[in-house]
Amino acid sequence: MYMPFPSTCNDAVACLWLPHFAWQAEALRKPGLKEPGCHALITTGSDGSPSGRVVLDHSPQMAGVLPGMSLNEAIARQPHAQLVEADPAHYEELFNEVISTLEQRVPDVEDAGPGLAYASLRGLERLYGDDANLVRLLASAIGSVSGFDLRIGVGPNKWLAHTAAATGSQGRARKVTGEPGRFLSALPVDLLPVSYRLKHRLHSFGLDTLGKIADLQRGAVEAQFGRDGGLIWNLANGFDNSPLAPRRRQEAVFERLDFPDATVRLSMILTGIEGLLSRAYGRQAMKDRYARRVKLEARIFRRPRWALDVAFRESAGSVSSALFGIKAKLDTVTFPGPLEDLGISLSGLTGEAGRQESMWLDVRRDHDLRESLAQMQVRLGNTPPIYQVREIEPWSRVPERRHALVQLNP
Amino acid sequence: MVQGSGAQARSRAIKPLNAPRSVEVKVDESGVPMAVKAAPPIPAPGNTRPGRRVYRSGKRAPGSRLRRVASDGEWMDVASIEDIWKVNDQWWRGMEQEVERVYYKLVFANSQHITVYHDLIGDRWFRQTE
Repeated sequence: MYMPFPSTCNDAVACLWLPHFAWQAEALRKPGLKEPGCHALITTGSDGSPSGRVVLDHSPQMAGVLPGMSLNEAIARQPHAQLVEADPAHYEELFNEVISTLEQRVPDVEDAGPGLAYASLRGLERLYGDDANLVRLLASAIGSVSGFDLRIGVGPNKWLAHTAAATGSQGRARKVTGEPGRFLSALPVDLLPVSYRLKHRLHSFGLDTLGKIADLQRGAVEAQFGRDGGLIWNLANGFDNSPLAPRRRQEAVFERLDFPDATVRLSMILTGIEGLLSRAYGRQAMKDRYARRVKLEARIFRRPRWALDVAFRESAGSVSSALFGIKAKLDTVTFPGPLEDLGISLSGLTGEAGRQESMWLDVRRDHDLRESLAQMQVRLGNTPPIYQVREIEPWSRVPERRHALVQLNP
Repeated sequence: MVQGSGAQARSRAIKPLNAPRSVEVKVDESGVPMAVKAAPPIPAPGNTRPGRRVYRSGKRAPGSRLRRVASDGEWMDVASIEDIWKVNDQWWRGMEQEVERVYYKLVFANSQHITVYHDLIGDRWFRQTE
């Protein structure tokens, strides 16, 4: 049960923070991670070796480990930690669900990355009553998605709302009012939204708290830390002019299928994609409409989810045109493992009911023909054996010299 | 659709159209065609069984038009000659490239038409549509 603060919100911003979101998301799938004494490091990085990997998140009770730290360093500090490979597509999908649920209750919600969202509370008191009701509303919205550990903070800007949330405890909301200096001065610099390397440097300078940074001259901090120095000085003093950027709501059409057996065969995957596209374009929402992009997502056998974004050069209004764009992209892709399922999400839907075509039938016909040939070329792997009758010497008295078959190239 | 040869298709490849095909022709003492024996037609893809009769002489499906010579490698007598004309071209390029042909538009007994020509340079007969 959330204990709201006794005041009104006016132009305030609420920060909804799900600490250790990646760990929370993994713990939903693997409840064993929540057991006492289980220390997990969620790691990410393209390199398979520990030296190329960094910590994305970790169990809440682990000390001495920070996101962004190299895996080697983290293992040195927590030698018995269980290593979990990060699944960013899963976290993104889960947090999208959280954001979508929030958007049903609050109009302006900013997605600031997995586990962090901001909501504008402006004008909502007229709709929902006092701020106590608003906080309950936000908490219940996220609570309905899953049993996440949620912290809510409210402040005059995003940074102060975030620090309020970060210093709060589970089940309570916190609000920053009045002079933020006293509130911020004792907070650790680890809260700053900067890289692990910069935090490390701040510590090495003895700047462990925000108060120590705020006591310095802005110019001195900038001189030492460059552009980031100005940012951290502003934040240490509670200044944050960054506007709330609500997520642009995108209409999308989603379809998915399960493969009978996990597969890496491109022919099988393409057949699946074609089937999904047929279903998607057959839906009422796609009637006479075009899609500008498609996102492919798949569960990989014993690996994190795989995702691929394909932006069409020309918006695709049919299965064939969408499939053509996807094929061209898949030619350059190596699947990380066998695909267990496959989902497509058509987005960037245009409102047009048709497309401007050439008035001249010949031009239109040539364009369609070239597109078909290009598609066949991708399928066959070489120039399709299709020829066009061309006049060579139509005036010739020798019949075989009048016309010839010329191979068509897309 | 042309059956794949397995070879990489050359871009901008050009194939001759309406190329002449060799035929055997019996002529009378004045050199006018009396009978023609055309080679069996090229089998369609997927219809490559040796010795299969693709076209049956003198028979046609109901409502269909006979568009090819149904000789099947047999001699077919010429019923009448519908037209004769001579082509002499490229003579300025020398004997090697000169074209000198006498075309005959023939009608068989089954009402089929065929256009053949006599290559006067090489003394050979060919079948060719106009």
